[in-house]
Amino acid sequence: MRIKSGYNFISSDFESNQLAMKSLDTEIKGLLKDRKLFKFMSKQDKLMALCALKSWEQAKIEEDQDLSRVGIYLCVGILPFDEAPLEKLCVKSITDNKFDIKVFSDLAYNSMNPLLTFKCLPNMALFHTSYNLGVTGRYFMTYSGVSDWVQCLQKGIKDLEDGIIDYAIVGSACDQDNFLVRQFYQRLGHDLNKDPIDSASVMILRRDDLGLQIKDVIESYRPVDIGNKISEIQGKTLELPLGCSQISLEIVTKLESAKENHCETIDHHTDFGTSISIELGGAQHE
Amino acid sequence: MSNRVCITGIGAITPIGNDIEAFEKSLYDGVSGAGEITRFDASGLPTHIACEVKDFSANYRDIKVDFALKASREAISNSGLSTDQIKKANSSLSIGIGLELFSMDDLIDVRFNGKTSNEISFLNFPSDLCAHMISHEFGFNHSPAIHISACAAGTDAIGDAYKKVKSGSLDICLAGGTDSMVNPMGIAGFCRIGAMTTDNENPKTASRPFDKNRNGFVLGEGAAFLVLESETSAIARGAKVLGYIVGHGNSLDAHSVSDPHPEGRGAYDSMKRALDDSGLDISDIDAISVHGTATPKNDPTETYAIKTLLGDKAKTTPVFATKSLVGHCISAAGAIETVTSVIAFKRQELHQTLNLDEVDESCDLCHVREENLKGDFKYILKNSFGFGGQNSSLIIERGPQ
Repeated sequence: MRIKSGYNFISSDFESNQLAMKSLDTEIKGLLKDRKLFKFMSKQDKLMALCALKSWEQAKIEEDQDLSRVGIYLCVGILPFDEAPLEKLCVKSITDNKFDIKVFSDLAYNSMNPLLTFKCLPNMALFHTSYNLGVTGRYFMTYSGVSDWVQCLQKGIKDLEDGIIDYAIVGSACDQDNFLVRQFYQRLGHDLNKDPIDSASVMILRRDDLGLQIKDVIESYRPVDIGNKISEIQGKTLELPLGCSQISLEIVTKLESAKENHCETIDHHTDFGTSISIELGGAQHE
Repeated sequence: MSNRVCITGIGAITPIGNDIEAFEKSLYDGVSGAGEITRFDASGLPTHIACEVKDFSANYRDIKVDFALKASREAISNSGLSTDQIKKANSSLSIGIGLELFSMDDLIDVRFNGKTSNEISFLNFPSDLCAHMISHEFGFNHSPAIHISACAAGTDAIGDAYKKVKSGSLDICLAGGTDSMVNPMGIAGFCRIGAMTTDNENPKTASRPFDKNRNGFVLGEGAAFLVLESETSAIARGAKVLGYIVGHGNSLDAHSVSDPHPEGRGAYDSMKRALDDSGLDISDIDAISVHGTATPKNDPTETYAIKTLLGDKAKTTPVFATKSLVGHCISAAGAIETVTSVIAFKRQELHQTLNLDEVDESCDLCHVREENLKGDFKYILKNSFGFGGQNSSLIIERGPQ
């Protein structure tokens, strides 16, 4: 049996995004173990780290907890690239408005900030989360949709059941208000282009005999033929990171409102052919 | 329920061979896959050599998708599994994979040539689609697991598959990794952080793990997959067992954004956890397939961690570095190196670490160098350590002789 002992959610909408990101920067700076690492963080890294740090604090984990027995299980969105540095690289990579590798090598390369490499790596969300919490246990790092996040949830639960960790940090983060994602939505004529949303969610799970429970996670999978539907499917995959946060929120909301011995189920279907059913149990006491 | 986890099929496409047979021959002939980059003109960048896959034409713009399809088909074919058998079993894919291919050409067309994103294939293929394509082709009936833990991703993918088969949640899992970062942004990004060698004049000797004169890795590319299957399933269909996965562990350094922990704390933890998971003792380990990137900091750190784990046995346990031949294949590295271990069991022979002319004093392990090593090998410990402090280790056992 598993108990949710801490959780947090962050999201921002398109119009208020600039303001939200300023707030995100201020908030995460105040919590970082080493502020010098702030410049290495992409927006996605910040979303994930902030959410995890808040959840950890809220969960009131014992101070003497052995951090080698805490696992981190994360799902991130795709394309976490900043526009400004790439724009700069473009300008310094062209001849007659065409990409020119010679110019790229001479000008763009020399103006390229090494930090860009770190910011583009999707696994850095895992580094920043582990570093700031001091966690050295197991991990699973994946992307980019609901079925992948469910694998995080399942893996965290399995490691708890196997007794190799005491706590599982299960999270998702996606940087969707991003120029590359918007280009992608535009190409696909996707509705989310009008209102891309950044989001993050983290639940901290522990094994226990009492309390709020995720009783079971069941999935079925019937792979779709992607061959002739790549464009169509690409649009769907971009929707999915947000879905992770929505399901996390649904789990927590339903668990909080669940009565003793009352069971609820969350069902979700993805466009890749995965169906998920998460069975929740009511609180006996917390 | 706990199953023994068999390896019943392998497939690979690498810089030194486009299938298992060619790869094996090159491994033991000591062939380096390094040369001048041919995919684009990299001559103006600080590093313009890499270990590229050769004589291969791609259908997808992102070549790692083609690598994955080719290697996975070889592995499934090698296992003798039919589509019907796969569909009737609990089956899935566990894949380590790199980033989406980022296209500067497309970005420039959008920015400066008035093209709309409809007219180009801008960031044309999110990598997770590759997993669903493979799943569809073979008829897997459980969601694929996609691992993006950088250089540890391939090993994590195999470890994850091993645990799912061992626990009984899957009967069959195709596990491995695919990657290629041999493109302008990939090469430039690694150059900018000083991770790669700049020994452009001598590509064949540029990848030199543990050598005193090493100065960074040579980028590689490719894919490898293994069919992992429960012993019950393998016996029932009379499959040939090539080996077993018997342990997996991973860990987080939580130390530095770019450097490994100086005492290899995370590396030690992942090896120890794999060993504990296997129930074996250090005295059982016959050889180590090292991560061995040839960067100044990684090799001493891995050495330190191995010596801490093995104690005096480190002086006599042979270690070999496949990256000396194929370069650093990033998310595919762990999978290619695990396949290398399966081949080593079959031959009872470890390939030499190429270009290890003078062992660095901080890397004083029992290296297989100058020639291949014949022996009696039953268990190999396999390491992969990722940028950002993600460490993963496997223990592989030889198949029935």
